[in-house]
Amino acid sequence: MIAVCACPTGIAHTYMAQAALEKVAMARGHDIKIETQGAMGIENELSPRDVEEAHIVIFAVGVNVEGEERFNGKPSITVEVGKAIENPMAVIERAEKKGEQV
Amino acid sequence: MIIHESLIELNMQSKYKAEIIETLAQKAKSLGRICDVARFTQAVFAREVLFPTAIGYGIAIPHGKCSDVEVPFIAFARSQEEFVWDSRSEHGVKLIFLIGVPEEQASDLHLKILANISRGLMNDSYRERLEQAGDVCEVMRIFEEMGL
Repeated sequence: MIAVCACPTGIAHTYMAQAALEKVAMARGHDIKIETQGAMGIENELSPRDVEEAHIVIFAVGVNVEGEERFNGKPSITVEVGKAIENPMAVIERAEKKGEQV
Repeated sequence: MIIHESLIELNMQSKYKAEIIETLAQKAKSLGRICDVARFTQAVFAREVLFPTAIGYGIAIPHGKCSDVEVPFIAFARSQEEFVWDSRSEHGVKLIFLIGVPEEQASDLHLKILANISRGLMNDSYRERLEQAGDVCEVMRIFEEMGL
């Protein structure tokens, strides 16, 4: 799985969502890489190869995703960044279901 | 440093977010982190109106990005009992982290520390330790561990 986390101020929510999703995804045995788009710009950037290899993209965002075209044609789910923080399990489960359908 | 002993209140009595934000902002003002309490709190309230910052886990992270912030900071308040942060949110709150960042020119180092602390707050053990910490020194140590 890959994910992009971003929020309007890019100071706290982005990184909380990153930590929350990472923790749950890993606990469920997934390989996950999460790009953050925050006040420090893009970090842990997803490469074309990361995108190609991923089964599913999670957008946990409160703003537009920078470079959204990189993910064109990939199966994805979009959730409010706050939801990813308060209930990361539900988000990962949704991503699993979507990934299986494809 | 982002966090400072004088920005910590371990026995917050108030259960009203406006009052808590105001109290913490006063501390930031006394330490020279912001120049004007009213202008800064206005930015924080404007952000709260958009969407309450109670994010679950007993935490609220009110924050303001505004030109009144001289140096980025986190001020921390702990309430003994969980209370309703905002009527629009079901989450009870016990730990409050007021974050201030300048409109521009926040150094990457400061932003990095804030990001690390944000990630750290998703760690159950850090949160438990913050809830139980007996004094300000202990809280400082926990923040240092998270921010590294």
